[in-house]
Amino acid sequence: MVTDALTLVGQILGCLGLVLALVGAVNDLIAAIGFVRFKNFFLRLHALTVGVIGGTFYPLIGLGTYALFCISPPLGYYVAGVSYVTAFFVLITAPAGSHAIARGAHRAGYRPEPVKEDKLAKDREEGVME
Amino acid sequence: MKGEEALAIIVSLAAAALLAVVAVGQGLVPVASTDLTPLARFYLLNVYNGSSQLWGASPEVITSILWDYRGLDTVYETAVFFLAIIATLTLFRDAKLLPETAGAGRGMTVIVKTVTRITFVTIPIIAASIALHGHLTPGGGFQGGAAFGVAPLLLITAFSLRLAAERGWSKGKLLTVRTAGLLAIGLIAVSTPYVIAALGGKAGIGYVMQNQPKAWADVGWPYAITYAGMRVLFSGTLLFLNLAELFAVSAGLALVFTVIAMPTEVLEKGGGVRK
Repeated sequence: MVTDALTLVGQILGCLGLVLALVGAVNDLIAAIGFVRFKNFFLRLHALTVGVIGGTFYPLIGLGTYALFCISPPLGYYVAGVSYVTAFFVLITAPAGSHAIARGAHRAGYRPEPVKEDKLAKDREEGVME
Repeated sequence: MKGEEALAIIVSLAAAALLAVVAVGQGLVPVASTDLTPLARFYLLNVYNGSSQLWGASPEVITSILWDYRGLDTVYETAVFFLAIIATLTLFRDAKLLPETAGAGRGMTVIVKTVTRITFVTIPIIAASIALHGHLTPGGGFQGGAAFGVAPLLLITAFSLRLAAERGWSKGKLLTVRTAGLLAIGLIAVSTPYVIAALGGKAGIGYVMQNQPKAWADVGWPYAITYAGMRVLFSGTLLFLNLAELFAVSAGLALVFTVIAMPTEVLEKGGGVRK
C-alpha cells in the first residue's frame, strides 16, 4: 500500500518534470521571437535572459525530476545529478553574464531606449562605479 | 521589397514541402548505414578483448586509437600545438609579465567576481575528471586541458591580469609546465622495455608508443593494479599519457591567454617585430 502511494507520488512528480520541460520549450519560443522582434540591445538582452532561465533552467530541473522518479535507479540518479548541477550553474552564471554584457554595452555608449531612469549613468557620473 | 517577400514565401514553402517529404517518406538518402564498417568491427572486437593479440586494455575505443594504435600521430599533433604556442610567444618574446605593467587591475563588478569565485573552483575538478577518466569514458588529456584552459581565461577576465601577475604567474613557469608535459609524453613513448625491466620482467625490445605486448614485440605495461581488494584499471600508458597531455595543454592554453590579455603597449614594446 505504501509502495503504491510512493509510486503514485513519483509518477506525479515525473509528470510535473515533463510539464516544466514543456514550459521551457514555450519560453524558448517566446525568447526567440523577442530576440528577433525587439527594437534595441537592452530589450533583446531581456529576451535572451528569458531564454536562458526559462528555456534552459526549467527544462533541466524538469529533466532531473523526471529522471529521479521515472528512470530506473542507477541511470536515473546519474542523469538527475548532472541535470541539477548544470541547472545550478546555469542559474548563477546566466545573470552574471547578462549583467556583464549590459555593463559593457553601457560603457560602450549604448543607452536604453525609451528610458525612465538610468541609475548606472548617474553612478558613473558621480564616480561610484566606473 | 515585394520581390524579397515573395522569395521568402517561396523558400519557406519549399522548405516545408521538403520537410514533409522527409517526415512522411524514408528520407532523401540513408543518413548512415546501420551495419558497422570492417574497421569499426575490428576495433570493437579487439580493443578490450584480453585474448586478442591486438588489444589496448581500455574499454574506451577512441582513447586507445589516439594513444595506442595511432600514438605517434597524437605525439606529432601535440608537437604541432607546442610549435604554434612557441610561435605565438616568439612574436612577443621580450614582453614581461610584471604586476606594474599588467593593467589597472580593477577587474569586473562584484556580481561577476562572486559568481566567478564559485565556478572557478569547479573547473579544475571537471578537467581532472575528464583527463583521469579518459581511458574509461569519453574524454582524455586534450579535452581535460581545454576545459582547464577556461579557468585562467575566467580569472583574467573577471579579476584582471594584474592579480594573476601578483600571485606569481609568469611566462617562464607556464612554459616549464608545458615543456615538462611534452617531455613526459616523449619519455613514456620510449619507456616500455625499461618499465618491464624495472618491474622485474624479462627484457625485450619494444617499439615507440607501445602499450600492450604484441606477437613481434613481447613487452608491455601492466594495465591494472589490485589495491585493497579492488581492481583498478589504468590501461598501461594511456592514463599517464592523458595526465601528461593534461598538463601540457592546460599550461599551453593558459600561456596563450595570458599573453593575449597583456596590454597592447606592453606587447608592442616587448615585441621582437619592428613596426
